[in-house]
Amino acid sequence: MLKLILMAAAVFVTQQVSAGVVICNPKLGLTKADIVTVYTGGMKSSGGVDLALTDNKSAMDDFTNKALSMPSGKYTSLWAKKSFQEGLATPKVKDSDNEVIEYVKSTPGGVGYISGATPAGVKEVGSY
Amino acid sequence: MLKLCSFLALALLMGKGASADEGVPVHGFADIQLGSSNNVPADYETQRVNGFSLGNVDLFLTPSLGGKFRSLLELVMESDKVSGAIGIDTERVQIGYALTDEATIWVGRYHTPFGAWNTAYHHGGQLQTTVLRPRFLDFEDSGGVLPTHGVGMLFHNSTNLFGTAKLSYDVYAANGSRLANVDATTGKAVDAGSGLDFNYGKADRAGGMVGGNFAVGVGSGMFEGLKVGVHGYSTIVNAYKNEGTAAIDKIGNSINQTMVGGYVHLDSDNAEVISEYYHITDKEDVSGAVERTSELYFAEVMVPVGSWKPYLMYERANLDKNDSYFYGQFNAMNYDRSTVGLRYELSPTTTAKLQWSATHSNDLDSSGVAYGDYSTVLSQIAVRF
Repeated sequence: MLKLILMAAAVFVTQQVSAGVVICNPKLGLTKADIVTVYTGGMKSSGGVDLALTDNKSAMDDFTNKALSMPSGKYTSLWAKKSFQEGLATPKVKDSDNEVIEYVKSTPGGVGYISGATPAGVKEVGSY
Repeated sequence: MLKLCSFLALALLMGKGASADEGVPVHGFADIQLGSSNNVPADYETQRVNGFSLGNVDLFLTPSLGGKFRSLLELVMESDKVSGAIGIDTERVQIGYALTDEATIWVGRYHTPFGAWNTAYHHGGQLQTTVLRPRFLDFEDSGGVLPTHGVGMLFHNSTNLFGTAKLSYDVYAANGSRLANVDATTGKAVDAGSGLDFNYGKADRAGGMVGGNFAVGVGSGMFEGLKVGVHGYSTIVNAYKNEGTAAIDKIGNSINQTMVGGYVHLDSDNAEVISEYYHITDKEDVSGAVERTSELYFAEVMVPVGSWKPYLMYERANLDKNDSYFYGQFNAMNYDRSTVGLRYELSPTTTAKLQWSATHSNDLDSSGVAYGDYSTVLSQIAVRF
């Protein structure tokens, strides 16, 4: 019984710590406080470099719910309006963590989010 | 048909590989309507609804031009309500330069930034709560009486005021509009083709149109999503017979026009409220001319209940029909309209709407009889992608 409780606790703890992270190209000076502003279109550059946002299909629901406090449907609707009304480019959409990491590494203004730990070659903006 | 194929091919090219990396994402809107109307005056065939109809197919894209340059391209295919013919329109072509994160100067063809509705929704049927726009805000080629499009320059900026409150503003200059296809002697509208033309190709005279829109918006708290603004423009409008553009085709005196007004727009999770007011003053450019004023306004309220969104809208146009500006527009009508409807979110990108509207007008038709009342039931499936 004790074993079962410990296993359940371990699963619970794992779930609690398996938060995603927002990453950016090392050239950018973004902080955790900027995440919401950046992903709702309120910040378009950092240190003179234009931001190039990317969405991650495999982690979008988790990201929008936890980091932006909105469902993914509302998030995509927000960007549809931003793009239509203000002429902003919507974030590029990538299929996986690896694709996001490669994009952020190779793009000077690259910003993305992944479900795993922060890899080498990118900067961690903050976890969610 | 050839035009349609070319258009689709162009859209595919844009989406597939126009840029060096992954192409340019194409977004858009489309809608299909089903409805019926009762007692629509014969003079207003464009207002008649009977069976299925295509709304419009709108494609827009925002290709990156590199550096601080921005672009926005929007192409629309729409069917004529009377003939059914499909036309293709370059709805917006804007090239901009971002001076800062918030300030951008644009040149090209844009949606005139007055009120909130015209820039927030325009051809984006899925974005707007109701099936139809307020009638007086219809597009120029659909019977609208205001210049909803402009060709020229547009400067947009916003700045923090206090807390999450922001001041945003647009200042613009455009070719301005003219009245096309009026009677050569009287300047009166002759048929449904008599109306505003926003001088897409060239200005019909020196001068043009200048205007601005200033609004304060709230980003969080009790009034999150609220925007309150004032707007206005000044322009000179000339009337021309039979689509003429040469000076010799000009009919009557030039009209000096000023529009001032204001608006409120609340766009939050708990409610949507949008209300706009336009006060138009026209004076012919000749000594002793009378100053003529007209008012147009509407208000729409929607309070969501889960995925259901019931709404109400009221709109009214009080026009001085002796004003040459309205005299020369076939669709300029004094009217009031009440609309009640229900919108349902089938998915974040697909919406179903059903509405009933009643329109009343005391204007007289060509035989001297008042138009009276007509009503319309309209449903719509609208998508964005």
